[in-house]
Amino acid sequence: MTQGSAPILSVRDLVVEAVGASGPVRIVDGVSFDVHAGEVFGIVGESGSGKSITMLAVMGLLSGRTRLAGGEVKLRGRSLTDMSREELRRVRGKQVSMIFQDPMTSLNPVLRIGNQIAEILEIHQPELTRAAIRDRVIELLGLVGVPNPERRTRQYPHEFSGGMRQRAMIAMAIANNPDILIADEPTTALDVTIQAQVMELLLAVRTRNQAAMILITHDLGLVAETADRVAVMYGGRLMEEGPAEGIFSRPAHPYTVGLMASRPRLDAAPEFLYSIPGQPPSVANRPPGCVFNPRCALQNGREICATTVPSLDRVGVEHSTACHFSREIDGWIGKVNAGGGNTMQETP
Amino acid sequence: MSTAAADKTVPARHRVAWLRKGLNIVTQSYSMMLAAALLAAVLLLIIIVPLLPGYDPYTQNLAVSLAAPFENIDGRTYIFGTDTLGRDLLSRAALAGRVSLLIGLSAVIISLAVGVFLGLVAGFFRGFVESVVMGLADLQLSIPRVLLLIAVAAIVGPSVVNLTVLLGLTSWVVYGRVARAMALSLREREFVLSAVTQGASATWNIRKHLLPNVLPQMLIVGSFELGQIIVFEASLSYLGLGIQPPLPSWGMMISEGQQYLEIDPWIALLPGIAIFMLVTGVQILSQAFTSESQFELATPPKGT
Repeated sequence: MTQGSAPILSVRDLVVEAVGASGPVRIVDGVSFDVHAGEVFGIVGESGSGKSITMLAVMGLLSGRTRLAGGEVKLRGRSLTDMSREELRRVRGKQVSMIFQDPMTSLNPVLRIGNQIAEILEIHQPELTRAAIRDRVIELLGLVGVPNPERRTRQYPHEFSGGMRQRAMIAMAIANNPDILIADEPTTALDVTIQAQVMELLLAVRTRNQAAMILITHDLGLVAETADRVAVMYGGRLMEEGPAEGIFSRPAHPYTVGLMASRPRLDAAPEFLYSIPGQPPSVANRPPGCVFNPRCALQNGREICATTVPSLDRVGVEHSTACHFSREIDGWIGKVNAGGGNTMQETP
Repeated sequence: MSTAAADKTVPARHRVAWLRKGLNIVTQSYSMMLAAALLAAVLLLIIIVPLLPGYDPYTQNLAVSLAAPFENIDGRTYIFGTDTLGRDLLSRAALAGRVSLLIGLSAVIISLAVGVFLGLVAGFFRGFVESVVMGLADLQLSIPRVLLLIAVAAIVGPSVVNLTVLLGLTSWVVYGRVARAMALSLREREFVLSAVTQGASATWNIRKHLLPNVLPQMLIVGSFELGQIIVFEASLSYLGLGIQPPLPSWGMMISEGQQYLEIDPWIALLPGIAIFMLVTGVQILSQAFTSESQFELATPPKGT
């Protein structure tokens, strides 16, 4: 893109299929994006929109009923999709590492924190001595702001609070100075006050390590605050992609508009919360044409929405959207914000 | 219980805390105290008696054969009496206890190792490996264990090592099944996925993440099995397929005393009581520790 440098991670036309009783269904359909060094790339979407499975596919961790059915993932120019399992194993945790949503379940309850952090060093740097690993673990814990790190390494996960556990997870994720940190809803399971601290820490370690970060979340506020670029996913497809300011100031897809309208607002009547009518389609029953069309307020019964899949077209600087009628959005938003959008409904 | 809960708020000095917690479990009911007393008595017999001056399990003295318990002959008191060859039954019971316990513990360790390994591998990899391992387990369960033991013992011949290995190899199924069941749920846990995303291989995951999680439960299963195995060993020795004379085992002592059951019942009774005490003690205590650890697993203490 226009950032000049080549992207660290490049995903092209990723297709993930799940094999069900009635044949394969596409749960991720033609997703493409680039992540550049040092940037925070936010992926936003509802539960089931395919954001987490996209990341698992990127890491080559699809298993069981899901499989990669097409597309390519390149990390620093090397294709991850062509790698052998052993090569891929070496990449994970070394070049790409992942932070999970729930630090309560992502830590092994019967192992000491120090040993769990040491593990990732032992896997990727077997040449390190025990003393070196110990020192590095203490350094890492201190780095992520765990007080008294030396004593803390000997404790078990249940002796850590939620925020401290997530800090320990972050310490594990950055142990080998990865190029890309994938954070899958890193703050969802935490208290609001802790959320801010953890996000601050994540951004700080990203800056320190010059790593890129992929932030997967359904929290629009979090993305608005932290992400440089944002991709909006719905029904396994990218709806809109672009710089964070662009997307939040001038959304170019009716789904994005709906998402933003559904946030609780301080300056509006709190009794009513907007919700997008309908339910997200189940993976097996995705509608033809634009996946969002049955719930779309802009569609107005126009045929093309139900027949043709819209392509991701550029609408601004680095800003693209997959909507046939993105030109009409601006006028339509005015109506939504005035509270008089004819097909927008308010639910108590 | 209240003191055990209070202990959790006091950090550090884990070993002392554990010891105190163990004591708390034991002292929380009379049955626990009884079980502990039974075990202590047996262990005392096994450990202390061989250190005493009169210890002699082998020397025969027909002049004092079939002495009754506490009978004093020629200035020596035979606390447990003597057997038909005039051997001191107290000494023999102590040595037999050592033999039984050694065989029991070794067999438990062998079966635990085999069972946990097969169970974890089956549960983690699923598919073909699982079918083979579980098929093997079902196959072995379909044959009564005593029958299998008798058949194989008759073929390989009786010896302490043979007996131990045999008991160990025929007891892996219970560990294997429990370990597999636990592995099935553990492999889906996030910390395993998390380790995979960090580049951990399958062997690494089994060794570092599954094993420490199943081991406490396996040790509890093992404590149940210990009693079973000691009884099996006694049965086989009773049938002449286990320990061979002159080495004593509790089972063999019972079998020797059987002929004198009507006139001198203590010869068979005393080792019988020893087996009963050991097995009962181990079982009641392991039950207590099982429920205690389940209590802990069910309600993981929340962080602040």
